[in-house]
Amino acid sequence: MNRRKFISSLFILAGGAAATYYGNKYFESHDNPDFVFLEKYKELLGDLAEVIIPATDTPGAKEAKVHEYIIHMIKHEKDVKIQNNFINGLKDLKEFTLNEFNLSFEMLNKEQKVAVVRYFQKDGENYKGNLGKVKNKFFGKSFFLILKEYTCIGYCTSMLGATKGLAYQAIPSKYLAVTNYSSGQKSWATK
Amino acid sequence: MSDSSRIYINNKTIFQLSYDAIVVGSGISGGWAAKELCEKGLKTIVLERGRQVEHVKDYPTALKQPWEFENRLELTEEDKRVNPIQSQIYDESCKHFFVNDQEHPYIQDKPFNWIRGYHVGGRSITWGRQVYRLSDLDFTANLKDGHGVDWPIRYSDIAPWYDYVERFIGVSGQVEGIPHLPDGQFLPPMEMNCIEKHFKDSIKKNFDDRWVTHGRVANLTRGYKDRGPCQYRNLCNRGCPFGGYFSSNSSTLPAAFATGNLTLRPHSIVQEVIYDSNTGKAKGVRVIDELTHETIEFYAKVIFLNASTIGTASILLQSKSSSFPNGLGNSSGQIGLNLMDHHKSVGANGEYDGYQEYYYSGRRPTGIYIPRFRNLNDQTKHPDFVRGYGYQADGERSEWKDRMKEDDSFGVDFKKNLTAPGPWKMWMGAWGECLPNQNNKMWLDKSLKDKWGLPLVNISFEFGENERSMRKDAMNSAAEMLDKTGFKNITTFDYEPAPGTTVHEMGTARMGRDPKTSVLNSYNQMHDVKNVFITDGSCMPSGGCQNPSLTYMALTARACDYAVNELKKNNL
Repeated sequence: MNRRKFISSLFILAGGAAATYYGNKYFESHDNPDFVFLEKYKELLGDLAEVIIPATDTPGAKEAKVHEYIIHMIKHEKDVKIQNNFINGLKDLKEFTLNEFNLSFEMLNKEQKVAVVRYFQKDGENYKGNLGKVKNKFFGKSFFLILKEYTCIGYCTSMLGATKGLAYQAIPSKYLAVTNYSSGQKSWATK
Repeated sequence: MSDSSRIYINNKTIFQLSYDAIVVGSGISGGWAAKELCEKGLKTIVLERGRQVEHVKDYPTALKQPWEFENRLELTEEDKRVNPIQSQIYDESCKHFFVNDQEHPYIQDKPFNWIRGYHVGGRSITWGRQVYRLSDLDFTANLKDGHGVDWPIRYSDIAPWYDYVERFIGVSGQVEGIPHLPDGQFLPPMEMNCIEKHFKDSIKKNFDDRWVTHGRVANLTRGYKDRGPCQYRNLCNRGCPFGGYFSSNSSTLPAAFATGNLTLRPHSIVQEVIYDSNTGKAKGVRVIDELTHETIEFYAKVIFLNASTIGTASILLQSKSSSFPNGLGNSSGQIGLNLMDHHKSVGANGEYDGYQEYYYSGRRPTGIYIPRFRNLNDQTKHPDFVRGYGYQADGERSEWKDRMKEDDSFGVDFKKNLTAPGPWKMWMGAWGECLPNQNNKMWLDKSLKDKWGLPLVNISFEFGENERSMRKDAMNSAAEMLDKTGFKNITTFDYEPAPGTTVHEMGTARMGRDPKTSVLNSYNQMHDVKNVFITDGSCMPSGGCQNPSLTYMALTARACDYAVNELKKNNL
């Protein structure tokens, strides 16, 4: 892997020259979204979601099949800007990883995966604050934000996420207005 | 004439054409009219413009888990494109109880969200179930400040009917003795959680003139009349397979059927009420079959219009005759005018440090309520507006939907935070009164028609200066109350939703004392056509700030009692 190059790219970001490192060449947000690519890299998406919500003592995003939900929502549900931001982001990430590590994302170790996602999170931070609101409006949400949001929704509404990652009662039958809470207890999956 | 011997055959169902009573609409007030008239022995036909929805059987999503929904209850771009209006209210689990905006267009002269459910039970399936009585503060409001016309009734006229209706529907709530929010016939209330109790106690200490009570809600805290109890799933708007809350489908229609006097005809769009100038009465209604588009006439001695505020006014305006060239019973010219909705989505949020050792279990389908405290008397008079607002509020611990946005990180620690309850939060949102105003109105289009050949509805509506001033006060007062009760990180909001979004349309065929300025008398009987009664939201001369359905139900039961007595006396 080319660690020096990776570090230098982070340095460029930290220095405030916050242009997307690889993304610009895919910046054609009104093209027809590349769903073939999206489907082809399902595994990569599963690994990415797993970085956001990893398996611990409870299942992680990959086991909860969050990537399938993300693909479904990207394919059917969002406007073309978001679809392209997401798919182009995924392409960027794939290329970035290959350039930096000479390995595909799936082959990286945990720390490396986290470093790559963190890089893309930083990249997406351009979208924060008031300026970010304007940017979100024109360019749509960043790749990282879309990934994180759908991972959380997909996980918390999945059977594994709701019943093991959180606490779920299909039919509570009773309402207890005040119960004792002890540290470590999961929050409710549904309101 | 032997209309009663004629029959009509549809899908192998034989429909008689003559009845004692016709009820147009099967929603919350139509269901009540059906029950009352049938129980009093009248052979009654209920005409519903949409499809059948049978209790339990036709609640396809009621027992689905979150992961069984394709989009996990998130709205899609497709929803927003196809149903730009209805999708502001529905989600994936209940969208089948809302009309399709493409199929049911209307014209917004000014923005107005007309939210509809065209099927048996109407919006009683998806209603908010909050039930609060009006009081003489509301019934005298128009008289006192001169907006609109005086109500022809006072609290004492309707109080026994509130009792009567509440005993049947089942309302959980707390007796409080608040003069302008009269107590009702309550089942045990749904308890407050620790932050709500804190808020209630602290409000009492800090404010002399403000109350906090349990949400009064038509959900059953104990089994009641073969229904319920509530299972605390908080999935009411899918229809409840346990009958845990009141709807036409779970409650009034089964009671009406049990008498043997009810005929229910779905897919029956009422085109007009047929007026007989010889008798000076309505003799029936003309229906267009929703599916076959054929026309059928049904006849009855008495007709109840419960097609919802805008629907009922449309039918009246469509019912033109030489006696009533501007629509049935419209000698006053008031039909379609004075449209009201409550205004909402303004208030404040706050966080509370503490009570981390407490949580709750089960999903309570209501919150807490802060009754109106402005303009009750001289001491509480507000300089900038008349009338007032109440708050619906809710305390809860922050859960994943909030947590995912509060925490910028990802990974193991993020997951830990995401899946654990966060700080306690309180949300307060105002529901405010909207003044009756004849410039807020609906009318029928002269050229555009729907797929059944009926004229499209135009709606022109704007909240005025009084509502805007009230919103400012509601926002600031919510923040003040949260601040004084120890909340931190207080944020205010005013989403300014389009009128109609509260889905409390009222006022297009108002009651009043003078036939020159109103459509209905004190018994919801048309001044001009004595055998036509209107007891849906269109009858309201003013709206109060309370959720209105309970009042429609009480007025309906009262009007049915009157109508049947008048029938017996041969006055109709």
